Amino acid sequence: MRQDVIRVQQALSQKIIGKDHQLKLAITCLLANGHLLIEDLPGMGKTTLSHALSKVFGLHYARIQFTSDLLPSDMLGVNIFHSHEQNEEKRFTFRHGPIFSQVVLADELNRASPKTQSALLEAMEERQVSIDGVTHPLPAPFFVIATQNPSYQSGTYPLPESQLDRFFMRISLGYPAWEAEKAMLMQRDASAPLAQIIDETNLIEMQREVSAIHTSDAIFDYILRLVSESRESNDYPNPLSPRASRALLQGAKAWAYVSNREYVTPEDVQSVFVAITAHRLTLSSHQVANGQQSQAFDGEKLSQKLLDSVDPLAA
Amino acid sequence: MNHVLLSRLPQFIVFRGVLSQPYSVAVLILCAAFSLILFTLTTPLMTWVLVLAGCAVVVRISGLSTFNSLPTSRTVNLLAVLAVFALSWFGLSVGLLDSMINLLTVACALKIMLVEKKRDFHLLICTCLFLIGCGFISSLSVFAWIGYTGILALLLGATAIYHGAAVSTAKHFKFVIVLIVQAFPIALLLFLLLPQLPPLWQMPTSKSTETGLSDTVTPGDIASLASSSELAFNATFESADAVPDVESRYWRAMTLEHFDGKTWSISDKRKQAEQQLAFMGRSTPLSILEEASKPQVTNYELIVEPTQQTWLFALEPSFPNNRENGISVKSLFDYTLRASSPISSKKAFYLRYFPNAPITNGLGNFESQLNLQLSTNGNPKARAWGQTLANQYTNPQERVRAVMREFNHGNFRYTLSPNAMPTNPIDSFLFEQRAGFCAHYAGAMVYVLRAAKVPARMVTGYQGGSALNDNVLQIRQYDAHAWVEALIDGVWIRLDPTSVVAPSRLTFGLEHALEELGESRQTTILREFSNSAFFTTLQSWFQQLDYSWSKWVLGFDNAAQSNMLEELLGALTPQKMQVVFLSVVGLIGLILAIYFLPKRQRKTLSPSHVILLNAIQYIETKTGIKRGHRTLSAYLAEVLPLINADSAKVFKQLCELFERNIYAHQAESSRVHLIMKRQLKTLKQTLK
Repeated sequence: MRQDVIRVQQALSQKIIGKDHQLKLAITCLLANGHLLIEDLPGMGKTTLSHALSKVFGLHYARIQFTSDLLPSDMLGVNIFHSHEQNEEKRFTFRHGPIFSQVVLADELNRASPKTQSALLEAMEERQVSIDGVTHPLPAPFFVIATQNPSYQSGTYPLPESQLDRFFMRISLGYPAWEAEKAMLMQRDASAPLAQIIDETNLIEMQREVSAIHTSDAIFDYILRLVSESRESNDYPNPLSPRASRALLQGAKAWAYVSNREYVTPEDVQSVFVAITAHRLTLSSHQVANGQQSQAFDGEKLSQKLLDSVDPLAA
Repeated sequence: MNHVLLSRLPQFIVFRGVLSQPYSVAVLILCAAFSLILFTLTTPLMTWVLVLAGCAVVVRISGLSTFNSLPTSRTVNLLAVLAVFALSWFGLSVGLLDSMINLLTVACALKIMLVEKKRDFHLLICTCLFLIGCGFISSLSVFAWIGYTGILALLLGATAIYHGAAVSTAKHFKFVIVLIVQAFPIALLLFLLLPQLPPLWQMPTSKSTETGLSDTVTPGDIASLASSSELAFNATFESADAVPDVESRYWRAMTLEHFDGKTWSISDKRKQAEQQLAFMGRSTPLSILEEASKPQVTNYELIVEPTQQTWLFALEPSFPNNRENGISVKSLFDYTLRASSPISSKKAFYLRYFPNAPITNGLGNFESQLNLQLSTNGNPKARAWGQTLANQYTNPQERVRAVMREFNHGNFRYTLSPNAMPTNPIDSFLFEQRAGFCAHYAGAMVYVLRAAKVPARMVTGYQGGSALNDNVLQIRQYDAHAWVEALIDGVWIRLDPTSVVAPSRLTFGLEHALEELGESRQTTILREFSNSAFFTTLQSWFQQLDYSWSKWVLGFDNAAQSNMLEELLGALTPQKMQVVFLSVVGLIGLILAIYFLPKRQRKTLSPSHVILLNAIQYIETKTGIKRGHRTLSAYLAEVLPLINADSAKVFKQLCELFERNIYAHQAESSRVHLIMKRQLKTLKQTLK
């Protein structure tokens, strides 16, 4: 099983070169059964990453391009009345929207209206969709990769903190290094399809193994020290929620699993900490606009500061 | 929507941009606090320093917007060099203490344009705190205290905001106010129980801006005094009954026995005599009286505003109660009182008043001779009148009465704005102008009496005083007065020529007398305002507050402190004092400990933690690289190449053991502890 993870990593790193840490984080996110938010400029490989992930894990993939006129029904699906059928056959049937996929890429999420955004985020949380009083379960595993434009431009609806909190991780791919980009350019067959390495049942099995990773008391204490520091200190405008501490634990376990270890160490917590907490610690853009200090806008810095202020070895 | 707004209102962005950055807000508040401090320090600061500091603040604030840039450190250094030259040039004239305050202000003003690092900001805050301390040198009133507490809150608030927590400014200030309120009981405890140290530096004496009486009187001086309504001193009596009646409220400051034809001054001969007598250990007549403990004694307390001089104002005659006084006070042979050091800040003095004791001729023949001296020429008419009186009446009392009669019936007038009398002032006053104020009358009378062979001298001080409470009198600068003492039958008799010319001056005060004369100090509108009920209540409330502050806070000196401790603990022994001081310090330490302990509270460390932390400590001392808050593996990667191979191997094993013991197993095993302990020992040895 563990060997598969390493093979997955290797396969992905052929597609996205020089971004091993981000790839590992993305796999971790998938194994921890969380949703991923990618904040990046266009052309950095967001789609490639999500497509490659779904391919390697053998998952069904759909992409939704979010625009300001996208309606919830465009994404979730609609009930269609079959009027051309015979009397008995005249009935409503549900036509599944693109969200009924195992990997959903929600591109430019912050361009959609709040109504559509919350429809997606509700589906993410509940893992089911209710339309006209009928509940339709989403496929399992269900994994949303949303992208967001980093600098907010006109015509965007920034995500509120409550919705940001639903994302397990936020990563940013960033520009590749010189050598990595050169290797990418030199690649002869960039569009070669990836082979499936893991199947659906394997993935669910792996997710179960992740939750069984041993976590000692010292790790629980470390996570608690981190979140309570964010609540006690005045430096963090949005302290970490219990959902965040749960995500930290889950993320650390998944990281330990991907790192081929049976137990969680403080390094595991630290490796996933920034990705899991940065978007939860920042002020939302409307808070910034209301005259709050813009320094708190840089979630990565805040997150790193929080990490540095707590000693992982203290008992 | 947003970007439309922003592009249309560039100045709006700048403003919002400035205020949205904690750094800018902190600097803005710091600038405001600094400007407020400058306002309070206008007296010691030189004008050019004030202008420089004001400009620096303006430059700093305008530099907050992105369009303006701040001066470079080169410019500021040049300014600093110039300022130091200017300071050393002007410093000679203003004295050491004031030039140090100026230097501090200049440094602060220049630094404010260069705030970049955290260190700069802290430096500025500390310097501003020091400047607040400097402000307290010149003023200790309750208003100074309130104002400086406000400025202190601003400074602390600026620091809190600078340290950048992302909460609102109001929240920061709430935090600072909570801090100040928490600090208050500690300050109170320190104030009440710890010994007060005397000032460590010499206060600059006799500045040009001194207030109050001067030791020479050229008629004309006291007119300028009369226009000042500043407080001179408060006198507190034990009860309302003990307050002397209006007629005997003469507050004696000094006797002027030397006259050079124009100016009255303290006689040099008397100064010498006093020195010699003090050297010989002769006790003054009043101290003999004090020892005889005459029954009728009134104790009272003076709270004197700073005068930078040593003389005190006392009812005639009074003797100091030095057991209570912070600065010891000497009673002289002319019944005046001198403090042992200049009164540089508001001070309380305890005095004893003997209402029925006469002022005797303390120095016998010397004193009567001294007070018969006249300048050899000038003022012929007055001299002739005196001689006529001497021939006319054999009894000196008759001569005195004749002079008083002349003042009463001779068409004399009381005014604060007499004409100048440059030559033969006494003649022109007595025989031409016939209008003047107390110093003119007293001077003329002493001159005539001396010419009439009656020893006489001028006494200056204050007369009157308004009641603040039943038992408190307030004496202001416009109560300054001069009167006459004549030596008749070995006793100095007080004579007040002003009382016959303008009786209301004495009974109702200067204001009333001037109103009668149509010569008020204030314009009509101002007077109406100051007579309005609201203003008078407000004023009396302020006076009351200032008085209570002076009495209970400033009056709480070492003597009052030991009194209080004696009341609490009985007789004071050094051991008891030590116990008190130690327990105060201990109590404060305890309060701080209670405040800080919850943060430091830790779970008890497990054995493997202890061993690992010990090992890390060895490595830290060996390599000099602190682990800080890094994880083990990050620290290992850094230090392993720096230590020898053996210890590196052992340390690495130790870390692995720790990791497995703490993170990988359900419970720590004691077997692993033993191994770790052994490894710790090896590590210690290999590191050597």
